[in-house]
Amino acid sequence: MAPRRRRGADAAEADAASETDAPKNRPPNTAFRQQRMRAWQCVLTPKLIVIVFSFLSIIYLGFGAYLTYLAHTIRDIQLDYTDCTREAPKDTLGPMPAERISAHFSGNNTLDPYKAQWKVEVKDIQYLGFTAPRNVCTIEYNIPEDLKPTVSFYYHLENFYQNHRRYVASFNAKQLLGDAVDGGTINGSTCDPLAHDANGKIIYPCGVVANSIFNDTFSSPTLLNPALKDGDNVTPNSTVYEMKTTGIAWPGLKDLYGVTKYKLEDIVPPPNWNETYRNGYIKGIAEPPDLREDEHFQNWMMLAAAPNFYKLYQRNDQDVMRSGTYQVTIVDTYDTVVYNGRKSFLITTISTMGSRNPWPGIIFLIVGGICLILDVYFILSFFLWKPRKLGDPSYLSWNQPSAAAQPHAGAAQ
Amino acid sequence: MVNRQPEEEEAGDQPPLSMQRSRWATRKLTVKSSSLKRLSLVHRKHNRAASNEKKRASGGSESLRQTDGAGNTDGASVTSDGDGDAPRTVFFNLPLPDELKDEEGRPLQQYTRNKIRTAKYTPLSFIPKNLWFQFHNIANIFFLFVVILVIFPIFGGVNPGLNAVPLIFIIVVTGIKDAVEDYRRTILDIELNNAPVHRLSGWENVNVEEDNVSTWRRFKKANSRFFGKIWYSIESLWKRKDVEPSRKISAIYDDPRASIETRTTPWESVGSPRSRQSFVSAREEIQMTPVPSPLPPQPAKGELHPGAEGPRGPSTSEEAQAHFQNVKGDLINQEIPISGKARFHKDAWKNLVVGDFVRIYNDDELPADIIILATSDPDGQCYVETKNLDGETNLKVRTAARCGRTLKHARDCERAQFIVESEPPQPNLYKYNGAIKWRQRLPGNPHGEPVEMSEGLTIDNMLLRGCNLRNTEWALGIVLFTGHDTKIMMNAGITPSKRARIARELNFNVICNFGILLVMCLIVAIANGSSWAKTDASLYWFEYGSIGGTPGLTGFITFWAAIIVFQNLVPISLYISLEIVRTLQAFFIYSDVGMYYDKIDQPCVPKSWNISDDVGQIEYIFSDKTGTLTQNVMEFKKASINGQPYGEAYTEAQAGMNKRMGVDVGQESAKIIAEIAAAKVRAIQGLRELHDNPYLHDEDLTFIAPDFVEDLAGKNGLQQQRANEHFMLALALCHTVITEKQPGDPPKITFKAQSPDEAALVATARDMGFTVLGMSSDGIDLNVMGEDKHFEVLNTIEFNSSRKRMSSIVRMPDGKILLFCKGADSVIYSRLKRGEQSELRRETAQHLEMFAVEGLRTLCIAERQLTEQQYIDWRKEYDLASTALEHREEKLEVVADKIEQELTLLGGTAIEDRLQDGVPDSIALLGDAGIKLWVLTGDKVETAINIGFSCNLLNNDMDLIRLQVIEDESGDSTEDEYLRLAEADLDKGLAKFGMTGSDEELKHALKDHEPPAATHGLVIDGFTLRWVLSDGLRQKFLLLCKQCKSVLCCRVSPAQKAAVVSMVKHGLDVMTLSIGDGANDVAMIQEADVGVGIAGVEGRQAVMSSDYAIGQFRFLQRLVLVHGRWSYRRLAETISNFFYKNMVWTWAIFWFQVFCNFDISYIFDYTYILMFNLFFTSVPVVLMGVLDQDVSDTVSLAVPQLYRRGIERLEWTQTKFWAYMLDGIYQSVVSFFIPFVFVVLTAAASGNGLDIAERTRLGCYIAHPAVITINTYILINTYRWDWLMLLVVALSDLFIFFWTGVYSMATTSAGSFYQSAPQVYQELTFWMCLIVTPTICLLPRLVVKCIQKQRFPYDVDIIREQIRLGQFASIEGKTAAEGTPVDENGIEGASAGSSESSTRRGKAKHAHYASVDEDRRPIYPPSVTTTHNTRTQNGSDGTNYTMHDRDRRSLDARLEEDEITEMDQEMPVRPSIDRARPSYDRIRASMDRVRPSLEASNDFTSAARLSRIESSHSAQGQSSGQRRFNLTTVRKRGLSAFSKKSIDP
Repeated sequence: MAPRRRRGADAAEADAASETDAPKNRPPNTAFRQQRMRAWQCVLTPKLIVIVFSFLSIIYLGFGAYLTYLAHTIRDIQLDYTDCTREAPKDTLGPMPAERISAHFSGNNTLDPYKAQWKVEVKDIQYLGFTAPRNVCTIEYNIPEDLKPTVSFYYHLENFYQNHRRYVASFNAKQLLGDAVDGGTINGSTCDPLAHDANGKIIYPCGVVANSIFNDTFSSPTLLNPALKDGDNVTPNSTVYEMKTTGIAWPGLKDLYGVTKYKLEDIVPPPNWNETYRNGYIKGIAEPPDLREDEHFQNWMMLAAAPNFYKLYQRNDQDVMRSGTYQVTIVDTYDTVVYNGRKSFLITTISTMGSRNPWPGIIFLIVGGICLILDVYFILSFFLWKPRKLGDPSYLSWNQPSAAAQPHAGAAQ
Repeated sequence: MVNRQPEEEEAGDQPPLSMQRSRWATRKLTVKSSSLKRLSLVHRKHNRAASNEKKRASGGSESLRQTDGAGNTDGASVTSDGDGDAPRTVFFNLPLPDELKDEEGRPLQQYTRNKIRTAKYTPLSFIPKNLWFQFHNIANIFFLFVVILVIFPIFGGVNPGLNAVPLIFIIVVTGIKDAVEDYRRTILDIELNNAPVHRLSGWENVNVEEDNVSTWRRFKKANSRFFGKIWYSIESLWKRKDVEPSRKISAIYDDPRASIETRTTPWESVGSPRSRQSFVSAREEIQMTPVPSPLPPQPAKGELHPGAEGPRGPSTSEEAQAHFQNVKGDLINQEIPISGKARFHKDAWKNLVVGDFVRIYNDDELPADIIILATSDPDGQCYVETKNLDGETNLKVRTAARCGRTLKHARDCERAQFIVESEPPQPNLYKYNGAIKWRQRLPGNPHGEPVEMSEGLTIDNMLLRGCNLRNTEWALGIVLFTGHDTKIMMNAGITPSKRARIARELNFNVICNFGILLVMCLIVAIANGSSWAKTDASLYWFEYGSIGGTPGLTGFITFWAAIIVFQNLVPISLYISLEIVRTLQAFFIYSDVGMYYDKIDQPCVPKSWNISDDVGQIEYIFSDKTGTLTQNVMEFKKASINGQPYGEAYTEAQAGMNKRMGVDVGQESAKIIAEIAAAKVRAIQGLRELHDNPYLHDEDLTFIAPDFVEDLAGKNGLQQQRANEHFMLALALCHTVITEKQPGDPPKITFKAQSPDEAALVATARDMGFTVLGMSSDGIDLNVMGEDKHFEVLNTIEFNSSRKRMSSIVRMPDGKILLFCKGADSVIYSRLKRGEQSELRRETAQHLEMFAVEGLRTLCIAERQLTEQQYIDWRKEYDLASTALEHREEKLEVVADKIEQELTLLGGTAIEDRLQDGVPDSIALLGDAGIKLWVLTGDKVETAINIGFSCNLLNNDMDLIRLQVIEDESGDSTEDEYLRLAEADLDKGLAKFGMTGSDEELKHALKDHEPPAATHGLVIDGFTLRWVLSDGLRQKFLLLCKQCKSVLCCRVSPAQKAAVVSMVKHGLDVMTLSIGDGANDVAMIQEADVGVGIAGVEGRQAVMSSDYAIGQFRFLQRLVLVHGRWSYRRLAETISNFFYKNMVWTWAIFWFQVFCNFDISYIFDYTYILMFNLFFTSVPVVLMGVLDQDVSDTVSLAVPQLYRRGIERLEWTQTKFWAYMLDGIYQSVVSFFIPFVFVVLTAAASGNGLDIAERTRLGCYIAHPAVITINTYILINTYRWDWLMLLVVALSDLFIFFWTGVYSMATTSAGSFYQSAPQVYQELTFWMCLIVTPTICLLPRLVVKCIQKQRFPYDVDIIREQIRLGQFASIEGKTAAEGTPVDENGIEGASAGSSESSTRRGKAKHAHYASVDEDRRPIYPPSVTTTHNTRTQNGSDGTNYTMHDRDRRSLDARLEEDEITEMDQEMPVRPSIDRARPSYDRIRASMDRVRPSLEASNDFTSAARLSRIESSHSAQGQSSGQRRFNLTTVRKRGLSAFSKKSIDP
């Protein structure tokens, strides 16, 4: 607001004149402008404190118990096959070191989940347009209990950093959507240094993320010693526990991907895709993958926050996974040893809290416990040991005896 | 306005007995003061150079000070060093000597232009300059740097444009704010620079050559002209409104004013006896000494001045001088032809240059420092009001240089040939040294050699910029100092840009955070570099090379990337938010209806929006007196005439006294006010019946005394009627006021006087039917009860501060010669005739004492009948003395003293220096809050002490320490002597407290914020202050002051005010607040951390330079105790919470780096990072800063002690900062790792087994609880949960959900974040996480808070509990709608002590009071002498503040410490007239109550003292020699010494 002036050749003079007429400057006397709004003054009285902490301890102890229970309902087994190609017996099954296995089942069953067997053999694997010899790792493991659906099959990578600054951006969203993004755009984009090959052909999908995709393949687990089913008098040699590779990624992710509109002669697969696209993209034979349907790819593109991560590989939502000995064959092409990484797979049931994780329950119980202890302390302290009268004026600093020498404090004497 | 000129002209040939006034000019003697003052100013400037160099620079660039130095080569005596610091010589109608010209004949010296600019910017320079200033802020540079970093994608910045938005926003907002603030100043500057003044044009001013420019400067000039044009065109675009009036002004300029200068001025007057010539003017102290002329003789022609007498040689003897012989100095060289072109034209102030002639008309404001050459008064006198300079509203007399008085017209100016040699510009308001030199033919020797003449110029001949000419038709002068060289400008502080203390301290914390940031980034860089050095990591195999190529370079790049990511550690949003918070705080301060002053429609207007928190930490308040504490309205309230007390009044002081006595003030005052109103009606009725006085305006009546009116009507006998009449007559005759008739029906007569008290006396005489119609040449015209009478005034002996009295010698219509004398009671009593009127004197003394108790200023009126012979004898002596050449003033005093004896007491008067409403209450309240209030005033010591008592700053229990170094007029004393004296004084004072002024004591003092006990007060005057502020003594002075409850600094100049403020501010490292209303307060207002201006009726300078403008002093309590405290607490909390919340957020990002090889990738979606400080968390914290209240305003005022936390600055401490920081880090750990544990340590944290461990989804898991934690934390730290706060917290919390939903669902461009919301929100893990994370985060804080509140409660916690218990319900009910001070009775529960003491109060004996709370103690009425112990009294030796009433007790304590008189009690009032006198009875009752304490103190009432010192001065037979000696002592030591000497047997 412009103040009135004594001397003034400008319009403010006129303002000044009119200002004197009515109390123009009087501030409105409203609750808001006068800061008199209705409010609750949060005074932490002993009563309130005790109520709050009692409430907290009840809530957290209750939830803690529930979450702990949930975590313990989960059954899972995880087998680390990183060293399969080097350590596993060739062609014949041998025992797998127990430290490669972790499992959670409820105890007393004859099948010991920690006793697994593995072997490695070289097999010719049929790829798009060619076959090539690959190490195939076969692992036999025990599942002592029936697993209720959903049973999920995850692969687990350790020490793989999907979260580096350049890595996380190293893809081209438009290209993945199917757009034929031209080379000029791709070059110098976040896809560098995997934007084009030596011949200047665009790499599709470009970027280091797609290039580094985990390319081991897992079979569905096969039950080796199936129990006799009702009405079936021949014990089958084995039963495949069929796991689907669809529905393993969030359905919404499909919106981010599309069939590429590139001409095949313009593009090359990323260098690491050599394993599957040895001769590049060839029309009719080695078509580029349909990313929209490739949920493994989509899952891979969900860049994990931490260097140790699980990704869902396959799942079965209908069938109970019977207890027994299962076999999984893995085409082992992804070398984790070079980067000190490890890989494993996990078969687990799922609860509303997801897979097995005891920590939430523990945390809740700890918090609840602490609140309970504090609550007891507060009750003892505020009500029994040395209760302080609410609003006791003798606590005011100017009523303190130490300040008696000062004026104003004289009143306290 | 009275046109005194014709009257004086008629009196051209003065009859021997015509009225003669001997004027003792009210100038202050200053010896050796300027240099020191200058030093102190320099020091002051130095102190704040850092903050102010901007201002200086701008001022300098605007003025034409640039000197190229090239012209200095010829070694002229005048050095133009650009600052104008060299003595200046100004030439009038004389060519410049060669050495002052350069090769091209242009003047060498460049003077500062009269155009001033206080604004920082011009529209053109605004953008670069403002940006330049803004980027002085280290944080802004950092933000700019980050913005630049983000532009390079290599550092991983996501969106440079978006990133720059906050910085641009804050720069623009700050810029706009600066612009708005500066715009006001610009407007004012323009207004001032274009104000009209009459300047002589058509005449060549040789001193300044506008076109004197070298090529380079011409280029610069052309530039500035070009830019000026742009400026004006821009201006005219912006401010179309302003164009019109300025055009009008320019139209006026073209119009030569048909004014006074064309009117014939009677030359005859010059030929009066007054102008008889001699080399020495006997009647003035100005000496004109011929000096040998080195100049070649000029052609000897021309005529003698009319009326000149025979020639006198330079060797005129003393005797000859005594015969009024003098040469009439005349600047006009009659030989010069008149061109006739010269005219006084209206021109703008800014066009004035040094050497211009100007004519100033009545009421004009002076545009520059001007030497007066002539005025409309033939005596060359003019009146000025110097309120803008020193705050005094009375009129001061300034005199034209004697030699210039012949100048009347423009044509005279053309012919005046002279040189003015002047000292360089300096800021001392009371000192100036210069000389006019001219050559003149000696009278009687018309053809002889012109003699070189010179006349000294002092401050008496100078009109200073900023003053107003009053009661003088015109004054003609020459411009000597312009623009920034003027004294007012040199005194004015530099417009400071104030920054709140917290803002300054924040820099340290910001630097701390920079440190943390650097450490974080360094860790990140090193760790990241070494990660990239690995060959057995996934990055080596899958990422095809690092960003930097080599690990080292990669680490280096990562370092900068980390700075971008962690930039929130030094949150730019903090600065934005604080700006917003402060602005809104200012808005609410503006909105407070409790600080709205309806009389002038003035709310509290914050001018600086960013220092509201400083208001909450004020420890020292420096207040001006006049217009700030007082209304500067003097009202005649009571009188004691012939032993009868008259008058009804209820003063603030009395209200305060009653309050302390436990009277219900509200009820009581309402009752009394009603009584007074009724009395007023009766009185007016009575007066009208008696005589329908046309000059009496009912509303102006201040002396409400129906009984007086009755007595005047003769209802109680003739004797009393006569006495009353005579008393009023005395009032009407004994004064020096100037009447002003205001036309109207009925006509109004108002009075202007050098002292407002005097005007009040004369005004009351008018109201009672004794109207002064005017002063004629030989007397005063009175209207006595409708009858016009003329009283011949033979002599008027004017008031001065050492005499403390004035007298008029009047020939009454019946032929008797009466001397009326009025003055301080002790002065009058000591001159009463021995052995008479004993009963009357006793009664009057008692009445005066009671008046004084009420806080009224008392004067005594006495008369003396003179025989014709007595008068004639005395007159001879007087005339001789008045023509003395040496010690004239002292001689005059001796002569005056001779006649002012043997007086007969008529009575006494009591005038109220009206305090502003509620001042004592406010001061008491502020005192309770622990704030120390010092009064810095330009007023007299006596007045200041008087006010000190009425507003409870001083009381009678206090031992007044008077620091006084007596000024030696001879100038013999050296600076060292003064310093030694001052130091001795200080040591004496410090010794009382057992201190020595050592550094340890200072160290201790720095920590001690407790207000000192109310045992000592300190009074110091400006001259002494000058010495104690010197480097060596400052510390001692400071320590001494700190021990005193009240400090009064009197007679201080604006610069000294600022110096005192600066001393306390820097010396004690405390927050200071200055409050004032006049331009003389500007410097201190600017110097203090917070400047408050009282928007009064007159003068806006203080308001313009202040940070807060309020209407009344009492609003200060609300501003400081309520808004200041709130703002400080709020801001401290806001800042802490801000740092905290950014710690949580930033460190959460940091923890993630541990899991990504410190490769600086975001855990959060990028929009979260943008939104975090914008929407997720900033609004609650801002709202907390704006609206939070720990206790309401009423409770804040009821329990002012709560303010002390602010004084001790406990709300914003480094401990608090680090506690919040650590809390933030702890919470960041929790916020990051709890979700991490929930999500990452398991294959799938989702209920359907799908992947939720993706980076940005984990970000969701972290961000949501973090935001809720932060907002809840802020809510917990908020005391007051109103619906708005809760709503905003809720909305902020919901907003992150809303945003996540909208952003992740709407478009696939969210990338990997796409569809996060439904995925995350459907997980139980998420919700569990959302519950448990905030709980764990907040648990420590909550527990600490619970324990603190219960076990170690702060004061405010207790008070809040009391509020909860309903103890404040009674006062809370009375909302602050009216802004009335809260009744303290309501808080009995608040401080238990108060109830105790109040119960004890009734029966307590005096002995107990020492231990009782000072506030609760019954007040000892101010003028009652009480417990002074002699030991302490020694320290205040040399007091001279014995003027009106209270102060006298220190005097008699010394004089009469072991005498006891029984006269004090039970002195019967002469029971002649029996009537109800409510006011009188009231005071008597109060006095009786304190009587026991008086007895206990074994001391005397002032009434008793007066009766003892009465007539002491009427002793006969003192030789004049001895008298002379006494008087010189008196002049030096003040009246206390005077009385002492006289009483000594």
